Amino acid sequence: MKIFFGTKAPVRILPTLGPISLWIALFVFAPVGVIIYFSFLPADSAGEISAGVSLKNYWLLLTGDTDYGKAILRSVLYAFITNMVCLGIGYPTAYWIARYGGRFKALLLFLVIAPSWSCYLVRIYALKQLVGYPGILNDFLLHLGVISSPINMLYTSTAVVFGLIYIWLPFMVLPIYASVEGINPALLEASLDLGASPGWQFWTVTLPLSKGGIFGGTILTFIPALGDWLVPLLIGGNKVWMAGNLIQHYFIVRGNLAIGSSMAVILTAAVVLLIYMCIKLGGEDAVERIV
Amino acid sequence: MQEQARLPCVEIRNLVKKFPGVIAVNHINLKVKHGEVFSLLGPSGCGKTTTLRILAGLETADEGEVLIEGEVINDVPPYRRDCNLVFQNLALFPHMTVEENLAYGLERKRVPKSEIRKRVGEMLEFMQLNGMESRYTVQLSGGQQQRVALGRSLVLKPKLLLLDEPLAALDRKLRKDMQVELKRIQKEVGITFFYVTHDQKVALAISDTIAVMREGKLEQVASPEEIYDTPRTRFVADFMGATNIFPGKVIARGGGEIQLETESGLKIVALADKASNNKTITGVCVHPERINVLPTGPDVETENQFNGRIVGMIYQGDFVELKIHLLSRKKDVSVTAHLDARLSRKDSFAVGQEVTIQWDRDGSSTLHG
Repeated sequence: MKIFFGTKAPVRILPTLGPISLWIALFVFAPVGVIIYFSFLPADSAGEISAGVSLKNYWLLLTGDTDYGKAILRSVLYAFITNMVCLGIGYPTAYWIARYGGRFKALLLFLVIAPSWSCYLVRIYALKQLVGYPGILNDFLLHLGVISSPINMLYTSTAVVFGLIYIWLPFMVLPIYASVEGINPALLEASLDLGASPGWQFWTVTLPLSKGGIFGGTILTFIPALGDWLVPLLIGGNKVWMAGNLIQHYFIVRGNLAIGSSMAVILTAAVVLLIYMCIKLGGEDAVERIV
Repeated sequence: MQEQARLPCVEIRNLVKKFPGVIAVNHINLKVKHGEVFSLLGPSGCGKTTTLRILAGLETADEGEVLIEGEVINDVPPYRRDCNLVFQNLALFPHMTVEENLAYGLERKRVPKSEIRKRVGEMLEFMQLNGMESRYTVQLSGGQQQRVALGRSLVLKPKLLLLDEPLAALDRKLRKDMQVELKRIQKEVGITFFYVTHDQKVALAISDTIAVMREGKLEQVASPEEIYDTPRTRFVADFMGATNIFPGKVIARGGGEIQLETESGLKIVALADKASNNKTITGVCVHPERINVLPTGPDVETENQFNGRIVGMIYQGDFVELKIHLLSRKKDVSVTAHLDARLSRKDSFAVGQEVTIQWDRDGSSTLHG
């Protein structure tokens, strides 16, 4: 294949793109294709797949008693809360580090990122150790006599959302930090010089110019939170069902690949739509901040 | 109002600003008159930008006072000061259109919407930016960006406009055009300009007053002509291109002239200026274009006439720069002379040729430090 990139010299694109395209085709597109194919296979309630193509699975998800609709709505709600709280905590943190971090910037950023280097699973168990019973926080409060019996902090929706925030927060801080750090300081001085008070300056210059970071951070927190199944499984303890749990349940516990696949397709479609919206609203900047 | 008019637009008293390890501004005093273009000229790192930033309120003074129309503004935050700054890199808001950039300051001042529209419209017209109002600033040419930056400040009608080398990034031709443009704009709006630059050509072209700054101190404050023709110190002379500097002492004075003997043994005649006494004079300088170069040595020796040999020739387009070693001196002395391309042909001289140089007494200017 010969492609002209505005020059007279033909560029042989296949040898350069070949290996990576093959990789992506094999490990990204092929599995998605398989899932999509599965989602259209008719299956009975036991998960027995028969030949043919039908929309039966999707119909079942819409009308049946799988509770998938609720799980999706719950996931969107939790992901939304997670995203907003991460933004609420992450923006000031990132802003503060970028503006006032001085020579400690690198160290502070390191402290933000360091936890996410450890295994996700380890962090969830650590969190359980902290707030569960027996757990450090409960023991401490009991010891002080603040409470007389241990508080149940795990296995509630609040705990799940808290877990999601805890896990995904660093991914909000980083892109916002990058965009705030990237703002030309002369622009901030210019706005002060033109009469903007520090508050107005933030509102008219800093915030619009860090929009890319906000949307980038949203992509990096909202989407993983939406599809998360380990946090609800371990912290929610099978009491709080998110979309990811249900998919996992259908695949692994029930062995109903067809239903599980159609759930996964719906979730993936929702995610793709969300990314598209984020990029539309956040501009190219959003993509730049996360790549 | 009368009182107001007599006060200087800007007054700086004993200003000091220290940064770790360096005194950026060292006890500066200056006054800027209403409606003039005042240039602060100096090499990079001399403290001129720091002074400007203190005026804008972006840095705080360690000592001394800054006054605008007689009012001390040391503690006034930048957003409440009646002066605006045109930044070196312009600092246009990239997320706003030309129109929004121009309206930014007005919106903050709670000017009514209709008034903002009117004033922004007028400024677009004045800056010849018609049709550009809904473009983003990155889509504009260098000259247009310059005009947006200028317009964004001027639309607020400040008492004082601070300019931090806004022309430095432009190419030579555009810089010349913008110089003329700046001068025109300043004359039309009548706002006092405080212009910081390291380019003595720009300073000479646009200023009413120039202050030459060196290592945090002012060396000389005067009109462009005075700075150029009679630089007070060696540093100013060198900076203004009077590259022939002869350290020396006064040996005779009288009849409106003084005679100096340089360290290298030259006897140089200069006009005596009344203000100076012999003791403070430390030497003399001559601009290269004031020196006449003659192919053959005339027999009669007149004042400021010396024989030498051409050791270097550099063609510069509108002039030819000659490097001439003076003959039979205790110390090696070399002189730079510029030959006007219209008056002398390049090929009438050659490297190695012996020549006579001469300049009039008003060409030599005495130095005081």
